[in-house]
Amino acid sequence: MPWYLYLALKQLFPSGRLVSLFCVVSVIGVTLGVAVLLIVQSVMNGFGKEIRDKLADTDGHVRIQGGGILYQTWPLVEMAEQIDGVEAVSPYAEGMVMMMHRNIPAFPFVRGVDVFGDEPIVPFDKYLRSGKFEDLDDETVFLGAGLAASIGAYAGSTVEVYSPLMLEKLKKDEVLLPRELTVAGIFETGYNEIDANTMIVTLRLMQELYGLNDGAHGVALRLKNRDDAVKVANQLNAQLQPPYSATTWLDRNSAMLSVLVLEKTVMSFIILFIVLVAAFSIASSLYTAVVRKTREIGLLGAMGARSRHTAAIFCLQGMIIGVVGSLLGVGFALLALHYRVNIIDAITAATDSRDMMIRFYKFREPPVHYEATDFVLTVAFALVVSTLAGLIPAWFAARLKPADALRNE
Amino acid sequence: MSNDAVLQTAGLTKIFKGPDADIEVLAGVDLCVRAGESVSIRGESGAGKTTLLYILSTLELPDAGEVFWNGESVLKKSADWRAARRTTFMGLVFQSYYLIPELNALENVLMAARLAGRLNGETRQRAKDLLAQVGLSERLRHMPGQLSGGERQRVALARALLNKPALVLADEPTGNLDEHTGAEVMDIFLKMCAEEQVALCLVTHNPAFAARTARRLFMRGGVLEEIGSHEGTEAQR
Repeated sequence: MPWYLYLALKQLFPSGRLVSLFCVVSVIGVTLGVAVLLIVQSVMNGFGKEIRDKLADTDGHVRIQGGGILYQTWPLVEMAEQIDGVEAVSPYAEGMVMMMHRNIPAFPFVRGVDVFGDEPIVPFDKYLRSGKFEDLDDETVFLGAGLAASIGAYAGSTVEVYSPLMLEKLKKDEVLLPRELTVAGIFETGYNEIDANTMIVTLRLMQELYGLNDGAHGVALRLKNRDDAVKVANQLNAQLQPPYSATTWLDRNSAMLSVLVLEKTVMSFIILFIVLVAAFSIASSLYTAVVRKTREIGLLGAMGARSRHTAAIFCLQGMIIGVVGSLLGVGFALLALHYRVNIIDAITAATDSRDMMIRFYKFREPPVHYEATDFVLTVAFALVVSTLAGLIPAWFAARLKPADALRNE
Repeated sequence: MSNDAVLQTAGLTKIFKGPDADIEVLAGVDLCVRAGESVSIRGESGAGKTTLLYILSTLELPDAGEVFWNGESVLKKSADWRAARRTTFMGLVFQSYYLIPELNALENVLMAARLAGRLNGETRQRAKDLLAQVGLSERLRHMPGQLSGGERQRVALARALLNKPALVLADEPTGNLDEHTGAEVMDIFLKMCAEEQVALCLVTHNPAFAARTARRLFMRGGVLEEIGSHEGTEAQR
């Protein structure tokens, strides 16, 4: 072992003692910074992944549209079914309607889905809280949980639906009765934008409400792997003639996805300061050590140490603190995330806020998603910053001339 | 130039810039220390003894003159070369011991071997033997804070001798010790240098300790004057 590494280790872990106080305090600083950064990033990833899953699930991975109503969807469906990785293809129609229940109005977004296909594009079974997908027919409707709650509807309720087409006819003094539909099921995706504002009907009913005849607004595709969406869309676009084009769920939700990325970046940026503060603490302590050990630095020079090696003692201390603090930080983060439910339970029990948290945040167990990139970047950042923290004191140590240092009595 | 000189200087000059006037500390110092010879340098405070010692070890460079280690001119060599050579050519002992507080007595001695890249079983054994010779065989694992001043200086002496240097430069090695302990340490010091056949250049204020070296020099006005030797008569100072 090079003597400067040996001395760096000895200054952190002196003989006769397990560890120096400076080492403990510095390592705790880095550990906390790394752990908090990883915990926040992993929880943000978890929430982000849930939102992405729901966006992809409820929107269809790829859509083919033609800038208006498509009256011949079967060639598009056949074309899409030929592409590798496509699991299900189905035409769809969507728009706004007015809905009333017990004189409470709502203006939900309505989506008409093909109930005669082999598999639905949206995995309804996953999100239906009551009812079954098979219950959906031309006289029934599925309501989002938030929407149902806002108008006081529940499974079995009857709602009245007015489409824009009906309102057009109303202008011509035609007397039209609303379409009465029975609520066959309530779904909850956990994504409020959808749950509070969406109803699902059959494609045929939607065609009737919007006067589309056999037309649809587009064709939706579900893929075996949603990460292939761009590839599949590119393949489709290579075959489609204008005005037809294929878009991915990523294109359609780009604003939301950008917000998720921005949110995580901003949070990480703010928390990075914890690691920076820890690094300043290391730099300050090491600089103090250089001043305190001036004569020892002089002695090492007198004994034949080169100034760059003497500097390495302090630089390596910063690096060792970074390595130990990062490893402990990763371990602490994994432990805290593993026991997150117990930790949240303990906090909410102590503050008597368990019910409130479940009611408002809709979860008892915060979602977590580990990304290797986060771990690598966080540990690399902590290591670089800790090592840099040792560089300034090291530079001062390297500048000390042995004779001047020894005279400093 | 003497053939058996381990250390020789020619016309060493050192001038320190002062706020009012420049101070000429060394004004052409010529010195020759032969292999195994012990030389003491006395002089008043501020006479330039420590500066001379630092220049002899090339921790500091002179404004003029030359330093030879084993007949080799060293001032024109690179700082790295001098540092590497210093690890094995000379041992240094200071008034304030300068032990590394995070290392125990044995580890402090072994630092000399680590710096020279000579850490092995042989040097480990030699370090223990040297500590035994200075009477610290029971204190190998003691930290510097657990040792008395005299014991710390004995550790520093063992450290200086570990790499079997040709020369030991000692700057007031008993300056921080009481008279009795100082005499004890000096006994060990001179005895071990003699046993190891190491040349010694000792800076001291104490005439009694100086009298025990083979050659005694006095620094005055920036030059060295020989004031006595075992072969000759002690000049009146």
